[in-house]
Amino acid sequence: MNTKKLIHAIVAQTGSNAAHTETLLRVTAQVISRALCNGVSVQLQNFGTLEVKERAARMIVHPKTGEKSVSTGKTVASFRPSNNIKEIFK
Amino acid sequence: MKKTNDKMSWVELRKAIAKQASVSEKEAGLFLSALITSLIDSLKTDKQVKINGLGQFKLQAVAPRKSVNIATGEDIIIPGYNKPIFSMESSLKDALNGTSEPILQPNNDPIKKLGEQADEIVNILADLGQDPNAVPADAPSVEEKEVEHTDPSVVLVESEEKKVEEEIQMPQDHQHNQKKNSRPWLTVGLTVLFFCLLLIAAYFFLQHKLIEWTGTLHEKMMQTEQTVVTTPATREDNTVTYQKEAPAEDAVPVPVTDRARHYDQFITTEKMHADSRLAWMAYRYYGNKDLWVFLYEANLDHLSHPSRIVVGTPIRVPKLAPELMDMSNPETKKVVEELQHKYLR
Repeated sequence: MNTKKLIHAIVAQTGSNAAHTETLLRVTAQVISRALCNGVSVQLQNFGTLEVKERAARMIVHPKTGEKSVSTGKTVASFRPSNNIKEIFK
Repeated sequence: MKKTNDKMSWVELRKAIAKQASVSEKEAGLFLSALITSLIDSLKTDKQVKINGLGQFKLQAVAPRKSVNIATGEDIIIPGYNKPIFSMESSLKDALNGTSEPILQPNNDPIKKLGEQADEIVNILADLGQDPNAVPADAPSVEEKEVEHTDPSVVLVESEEKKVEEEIQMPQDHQHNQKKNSRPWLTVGLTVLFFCLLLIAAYFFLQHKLIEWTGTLHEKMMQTEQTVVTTPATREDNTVTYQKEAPAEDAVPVPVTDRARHYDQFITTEKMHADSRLAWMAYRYYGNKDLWVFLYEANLDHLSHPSRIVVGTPIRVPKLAPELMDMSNPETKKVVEELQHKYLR
């Protein structure tokens, strides 16, 4: 499902304007991503938590040439589903 | 970018959204809960859902696997399940890793900046609001100079306010202008293209005209030359004129065989019979079967192929120049062969 359909689904529930819902969704994405950029994890009730994790630098080997190199560490956003969600999708 | 233990709770998120989108907290809360339920629904139906500017939630199937009950040592099978996972959008990835932070910044900046500016102005206003109050409180009967002093500051503040308002309007106006400006550029480009095409057309037309004009000029020149040449010749001698005329004829491209043929005069018009052939008609009228090509050429407008002529089709039989009927002439033969090759293909 893409963002457009998601907006339609939300509009079907709240009954508000689609354009307004779109701005709200955009703002939500902005707020969440900014929080994640500041290292703050975001809790979504009844859904889960979006949190930031550090991936450490590690040794990697090129499968063809056997060349060894060090991959740079990176930061990723990961999702930890809440328990009720786990039950729903079981 | 460092990991902290900070956590943005549901309420905080609701507040932040309400503040940034300038809606009531209640509305933001309603929207958020609708968002969560539709996220769950869409994950159930489509197994994936995408939020622009953030990332994609997906359902990942985890296969059942074998395990051992630690207490009893029994083999047990852990059933498979679907695990919701999140993969971030590249913009978020870049922002998180600090490779290109500006990607997120410009989206946030104008609002943030304006908010900061507004705060600053509020502070300044507050300061100024205190100052004039403070001054008269301390010395209510001071000369008017001080009052005058305060006035410009108020004016200043007002102008600043205006500035801020302008700045607030600026980004929107700017976007509008950009959108509007893109069209005029297109029209300007198109008109320029149009004029270019017009110029090219005019150039070719003029060239064509020039060629025609030079051609007529050439012909006129030739004619004058001929008259100039022939007039004295006729006065002098007949033999001389004959000799002089011959090269003049040579100068005009070799007659009839090389010229494009125009069929204006016709001997008769014959209807095609079941057993009549163009070749036989050519034999009857011109004395040579090979000359059917001229018959065909004269009726080209209503014939598609020499061997596919419908019975009853009228065939016009043109009058041919004697040179064209003479097959012993190599030029004629060449022309006839060329035409045969062309039409029988």
